[in-house]
Amino acid sequence: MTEPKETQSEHRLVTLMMKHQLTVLIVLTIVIALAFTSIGLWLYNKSGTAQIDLSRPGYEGIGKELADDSEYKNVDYSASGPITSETLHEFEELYEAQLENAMTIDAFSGDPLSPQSLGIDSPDDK
Amino acid sequence: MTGVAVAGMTLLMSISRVHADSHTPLSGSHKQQIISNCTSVKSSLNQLHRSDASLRVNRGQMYEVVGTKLMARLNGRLVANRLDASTLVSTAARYDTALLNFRDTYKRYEEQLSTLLRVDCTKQPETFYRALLDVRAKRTEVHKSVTNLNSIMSDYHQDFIDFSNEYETATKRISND
Repeated sequence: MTEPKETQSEHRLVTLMMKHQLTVLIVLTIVIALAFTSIGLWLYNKSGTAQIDLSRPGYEGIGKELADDSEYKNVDYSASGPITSETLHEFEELYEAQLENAMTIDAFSGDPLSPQSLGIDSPDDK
Repeated sequence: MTGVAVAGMTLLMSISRVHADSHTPLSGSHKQQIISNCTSVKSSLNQLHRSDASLRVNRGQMYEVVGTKLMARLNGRLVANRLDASTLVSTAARYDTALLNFRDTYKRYEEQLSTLLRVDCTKQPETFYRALLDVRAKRTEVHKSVTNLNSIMSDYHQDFIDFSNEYETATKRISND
């Protein structure tokens, strides 16, 4: 009685794996590491984290232009406690400071990407 | 009536102009102009890429603080004190949606700008020009989302003032009784 062909090849594969256990371990480790890295990179790009990661190439030295973290340390309104005229006034002061901050800069305004601003508008339009 | 007609005509003309811009093939002289100004255009785009990234982080941080450290906390506190904060809660919900929209529009703009920066304008001036028009439209979307967020912040402020006034009136009435 001879074993079926499939069982024979399975048996050969198991013998081969047993013989090269270390190689199999290394290959499996690399495959798992690559899979997790790919998932991590996919999440990094998909979630929008990449857009706010200023440690990427091309953003060197941009740290100086960023607002200091301490700027928002004082913005801390307690989520618990009674509501009184004083606590409402405290909130008003904190909120108005941020509202003023938001209104001061008209972020992403202007049209720096217009062909005219970049000097590449059609010569026929001139 | 005449004003409306003029505004309509202007709008139609600008739409057809944008449509023409994005579909008509570029003339030879236009392509040549893009090729000869390629280096300076790329430099301006790189600068804009950097400055917009820092603006995104700074504005994003501020909007985040307003949403989580101010609006959410006040709303929670009002509810915990069994006060009617429904208007403030609904405005805060609108703010959260607008903040998500800001993140999303900026993400799409930045991805498109990065793609544009990879296009070689000396070899593919037409592709570069079309991509530029697309990035420009996406930046306008980002500006709109910022304007919307600022407007909702103002609405919340107004709702808060209305609430405070009502609260003060009610407190005075109770103490007089």
